[in-house]
Amino acid sequence: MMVRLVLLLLLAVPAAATLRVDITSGIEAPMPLAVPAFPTPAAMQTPAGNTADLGRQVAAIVSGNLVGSGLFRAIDPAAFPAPTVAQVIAPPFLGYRTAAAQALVTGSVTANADGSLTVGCHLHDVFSEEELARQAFTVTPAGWRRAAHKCSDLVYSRLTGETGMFDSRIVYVAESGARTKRVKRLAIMDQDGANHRFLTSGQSLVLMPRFSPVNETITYMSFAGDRPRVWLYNIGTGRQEPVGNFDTMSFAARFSPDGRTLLFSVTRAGNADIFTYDIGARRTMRLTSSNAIDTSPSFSPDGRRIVFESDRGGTQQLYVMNADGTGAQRISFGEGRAASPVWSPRGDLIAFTRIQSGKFRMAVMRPDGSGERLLTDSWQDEGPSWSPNGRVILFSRTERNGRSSLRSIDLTGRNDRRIPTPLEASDPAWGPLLP
Amino acid sequence: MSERGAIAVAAGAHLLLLGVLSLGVARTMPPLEPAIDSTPIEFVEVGDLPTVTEMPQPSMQAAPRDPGPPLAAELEPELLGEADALESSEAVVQDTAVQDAIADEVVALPPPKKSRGVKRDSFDAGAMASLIDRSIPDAPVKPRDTSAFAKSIETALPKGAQVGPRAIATLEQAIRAQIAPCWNPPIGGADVQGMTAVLRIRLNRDGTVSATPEFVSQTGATQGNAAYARAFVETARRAVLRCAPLALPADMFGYWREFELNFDPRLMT
Repeated sequence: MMVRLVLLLLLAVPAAATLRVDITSGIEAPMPLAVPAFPTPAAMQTPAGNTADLGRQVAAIVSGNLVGSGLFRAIDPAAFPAPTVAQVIAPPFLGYRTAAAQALVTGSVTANADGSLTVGCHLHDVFSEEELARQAFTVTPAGWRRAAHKCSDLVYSRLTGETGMFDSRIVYVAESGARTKRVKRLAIMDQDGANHRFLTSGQSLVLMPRFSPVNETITYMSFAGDRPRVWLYNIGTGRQEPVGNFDTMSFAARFSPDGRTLLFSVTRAGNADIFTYDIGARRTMRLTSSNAIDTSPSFSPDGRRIVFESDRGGTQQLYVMNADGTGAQRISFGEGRAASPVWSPRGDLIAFTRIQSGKFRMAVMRPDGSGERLLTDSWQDEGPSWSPNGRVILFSRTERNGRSSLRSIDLTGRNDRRIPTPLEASDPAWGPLLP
Repeated sequence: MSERGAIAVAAGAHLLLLGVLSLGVARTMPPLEPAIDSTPIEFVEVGDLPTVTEMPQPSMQAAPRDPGPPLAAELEPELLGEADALESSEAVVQDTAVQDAIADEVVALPPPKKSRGVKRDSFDAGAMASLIDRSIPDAPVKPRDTSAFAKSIETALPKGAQVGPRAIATLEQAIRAQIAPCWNPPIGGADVQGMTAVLRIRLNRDGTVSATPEFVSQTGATQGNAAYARAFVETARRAVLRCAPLALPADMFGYWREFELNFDPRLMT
């Protein structure tokens, strides 16, 4: 056997005549791409505006989304002429190559007889001159921005191999008024800050909103009626209901990956324990019963494990346990404390707040506690929330002057950017990709 | 034409007409629907959400700028210098690690004469391929065995032309130096660890690509990450197309007319 193996290896020598070169490094720069204005076959007035104007705006949104991800950079549209309708499917590639674009997004906006709009979206590889992806999205005029987000997701997923994240929304706590008499309202907006609206009036203090990963429901904590507890809120119907029936405070709620169960903490005699709540059956079950504060529970994407924070070991640290509450093991070590863990929807990482040397910073680690990386270095960054594709982390940043805003950062630690909000903002939660 | 024939023709024509008409009724296609392209476009109905439309708020900040590929002029002097000094000077070659590794492998390999005597007919490519595939994860970062290549060169080259392992290493380095700055691998993907792709490159004498880089093999691809694996291969292909034409020593065209590139981002963060 060994002899045959050696013989085979010898034989391989003359056969392997082709030179093979290892390319073990590349550049980590954003990919240049061009998103010229989407032409319209016939400029028509619609409730959302003229289709020619919409074509320009859709292209600008697609470009803004992709550039905002930090993985792409847009070639100045002035560097090339806007394509005609015929060029949407057969673009003049040479011009884009000259402009150093590697990918090209073309599309069109058409007003249909039934009042809807159809936005075509085509992705081309400038160098191989291949069409990599195409889709057409039919939307109502009121929802025209969603077509741009869908197109962005198509391009993003095709070029990166990851799922998209742009056709999604963010819920957060909008803050206004004096520090001593703060008004906190739930607000919702598209992930790019558009279509902003308030969900609650501000009469009661609200905290920690979280999106259901599967439907139009959020959970949050409200002090309504001076009973601080977890609520469910159906965004579509506006219906709200309290969760469970506890005499004490319930807080830090989060949905299971299938949206059927809530995890949250309930206080009792200076402690806090983690409970599950079956939303359909309205049944609660206790998972932890230590003499410590167990809170911020978050399911793994397969629903089998839960990461949470606890001070059972003396300081605030992260633990992972089975979904039934058994087998808790500490995963965070090292200097300082660790708080507010969130399991990535991709499953490979846990994002959390690392507290050390008086600073609160965004960090990630693998579910076994290895590979910890600090992503931000500001004064007070808190409350991570994953993008639906597990690529970007949304969080709130408080400056030393007390002002708070929403930020996002790529899991590589690059592209720390502000998410625009009309008021000060905290406690963001990124919702799922919309259907 | 017989009656039966005529009926058949008429029936066919009616079916065709029906087909054409029902296509028109089925869906108002956007005018951009290509006549030259047969790929069907997927239509997605996007429902409305209970939201209030507001003016869009421009926000996105530009990310760091791409330095772009290095100019060919920057690469050439160094490259040509090395080509001139291929066999004569050791000082020219900077990356001695590559040579050291090759030297080690040359020592480790059996003498070339033994292999020459074996008939190629008995070579089992399939068995060999499986061996090679399995060996990839064990030696991820190590330079490839170029000594075998060097041997094949001896027979391929005109008599008197002497090209040793050092020249090959220099050529490798020249290729690497030109391709790496054009490669934009997808960083931060969940499956980036352990994914590699091999492409076969064919070049003309002027360094331009004579054919689209051909996919040879890939490691780290699973059923679950097919989209990522595809995107990964495309970044490799794009790197080649983007950096062509390559500036390589003309007297070694026989070696770089066709070669393979193994894209392996393991050394990146």
